[in-house]
Amino acid sequence: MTKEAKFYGSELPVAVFAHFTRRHFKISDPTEIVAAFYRARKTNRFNVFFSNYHFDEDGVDPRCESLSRGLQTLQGTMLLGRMNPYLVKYSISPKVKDDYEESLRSKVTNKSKLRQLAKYVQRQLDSSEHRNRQLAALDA
Amino acid sequence: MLKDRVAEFVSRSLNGRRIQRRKCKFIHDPLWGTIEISNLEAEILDTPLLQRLKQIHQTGFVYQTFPSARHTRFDHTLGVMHLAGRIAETLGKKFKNFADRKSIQKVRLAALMHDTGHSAFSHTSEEVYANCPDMIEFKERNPEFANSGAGEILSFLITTSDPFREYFERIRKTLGKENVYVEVDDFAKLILGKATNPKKQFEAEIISGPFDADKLDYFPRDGRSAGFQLTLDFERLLHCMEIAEIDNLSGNKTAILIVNRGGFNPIQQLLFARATLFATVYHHQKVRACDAMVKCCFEHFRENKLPFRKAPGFKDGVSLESAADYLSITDYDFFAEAALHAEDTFQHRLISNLCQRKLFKRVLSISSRTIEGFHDDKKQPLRYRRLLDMIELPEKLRAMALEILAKSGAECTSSEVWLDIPTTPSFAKAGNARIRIHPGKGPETLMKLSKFIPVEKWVETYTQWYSQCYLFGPEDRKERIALARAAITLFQSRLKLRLMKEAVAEDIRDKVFP
Repeated sequence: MTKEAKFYGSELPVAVFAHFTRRHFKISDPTEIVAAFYRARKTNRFNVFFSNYHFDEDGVDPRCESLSRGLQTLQGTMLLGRMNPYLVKYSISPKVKDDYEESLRSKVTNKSKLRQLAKYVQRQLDSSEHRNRQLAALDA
Repeated sequence: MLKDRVAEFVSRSLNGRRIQRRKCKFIHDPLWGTIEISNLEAEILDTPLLQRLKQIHQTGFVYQTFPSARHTRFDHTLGVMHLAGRIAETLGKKFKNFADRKSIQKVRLAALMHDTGHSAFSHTSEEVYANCPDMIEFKERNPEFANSGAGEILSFLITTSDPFREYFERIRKTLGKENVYVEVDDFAKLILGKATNPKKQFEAEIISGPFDADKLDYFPRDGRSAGFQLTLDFERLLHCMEIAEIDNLSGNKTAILIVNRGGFNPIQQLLFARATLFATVYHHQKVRACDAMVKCCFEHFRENKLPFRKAPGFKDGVSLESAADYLSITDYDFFAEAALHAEDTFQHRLISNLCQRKLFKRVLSISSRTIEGFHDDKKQPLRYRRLLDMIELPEKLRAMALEILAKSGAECTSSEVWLDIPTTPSFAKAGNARIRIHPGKGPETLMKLSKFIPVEKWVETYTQWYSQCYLFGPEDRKERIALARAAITLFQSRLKLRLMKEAVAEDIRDKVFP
């Protein structure tokens, strides 16, 4: 296994979001973001990035305190937000890319693995969005 | 090992205890009225494991700022047990197949034991013993505890310790199976917010969930004691609580706790209470200064390997090396340490200052409002993020405080300089609460609360406008000026974070920014 620097707090979401090709997601709350990371963790392909993030899978939703705190930090520093007019979209600030370049890029050894992780998480969020749209249509 | 040390503590606490055949008890609570305690609960309640909670203030040193906030963990424990029981009873009436008398006893016992792991000043000391080597090692070896707080872990270890199991069995033998119909393992995991029966997730959610009995008690209790008129319509919320079956992560059906649409209003009240209490009480700068002093004191004992002498049952004092050692200390022991030893040592001076409200003083306040160009300069929020992330690495935070001290040339001790990053209240859990929109139409009509209430906006607003990090220092003005100058320079060089004049405490501002 490649020796990878350990992410903590909001570093993992920053590193992942920085590689996203989309910036807006129609998802209902951060549990869907946590769930997307959880599914990535479950594949066991990206374990190197998750050493400081442990998921509880006892209940209905996966729970990871450090990831949730990290996401709240991103919201508090306006790097991730739901402050759009209709409160239906999560927006990832373009500054996240700068943040990654400035503080995290040098820390990451396996950059292609990180890109794969980002792709995987983004795909998970895409499916969440798709599911939400279907539910909304059913509701209507 | 931590587990053994906790078992030793429990054994000491229960040593020679006789079980009495007693009737149930009634206790009057200012918040919830008459609380009925069963004979089983009374046997546990009367042990030193629970009685010690009468000597631990629920909100630590909050009373130095809000003088009437002197309620204890014991009061809170009774309240949580009462509410947990009422929730389970109400669900039992509506959903007989799910919530039975066993569920009621399980949640009441879990509530009774849920705070037994607390030490002096509640969550303040928790931040210290969370970093004890044996607690860190325990979490590393048992990743299933990674998301649990150190206090919760100690409560769980107390409940599952052999001496407690033996005591529980003795109660069962004395009171009979008609009074005790659960096992320790039926309720111990609920303390951690984990279901013991995978089909009954709601039992765990009554203890730890979006609107659990813990929050439903501590918000009104803390608010009332601090003097805030917070409204929480518990009866309405209780009326609206229901059970729904949905798939858990393993793909099996589980019964979860939900509310119907009528529960919107009380849940909003709960969210509002949370934001108010965090912004005005728990994160009040004087409260944080007290917390910093308590932590500083415990760290000083630990770093210098000084025994905490007034812990009851310890002739030579307790070392504070293990997280379990903190179980032997309550607020009273903390004060006794200073009162009974008049010698002029740093730690005794510190405790004495705390008692006389001679607190650490603010040197800097760091928030989105005091960072230069936070809303215009695209790089500043990124740098603030890096500072906030340090909450995950307390040793890094401590190293930074020490570096500030070294660069400042101030003559105070290393224990007097504290960089404080308060935890942001987690609203996300509340947003995750499930609401039944069309009653009677099945689980497909369940929606998350965050769809209807902008919970996320609360998070963003709180973090951006209320949350603040502090640098605390000693009372001496000259030293604080030196610390402020050094900190501003260090933040700029290390994190590239530029602070405005407003970040500096008012009484030294003109000297730091002439």
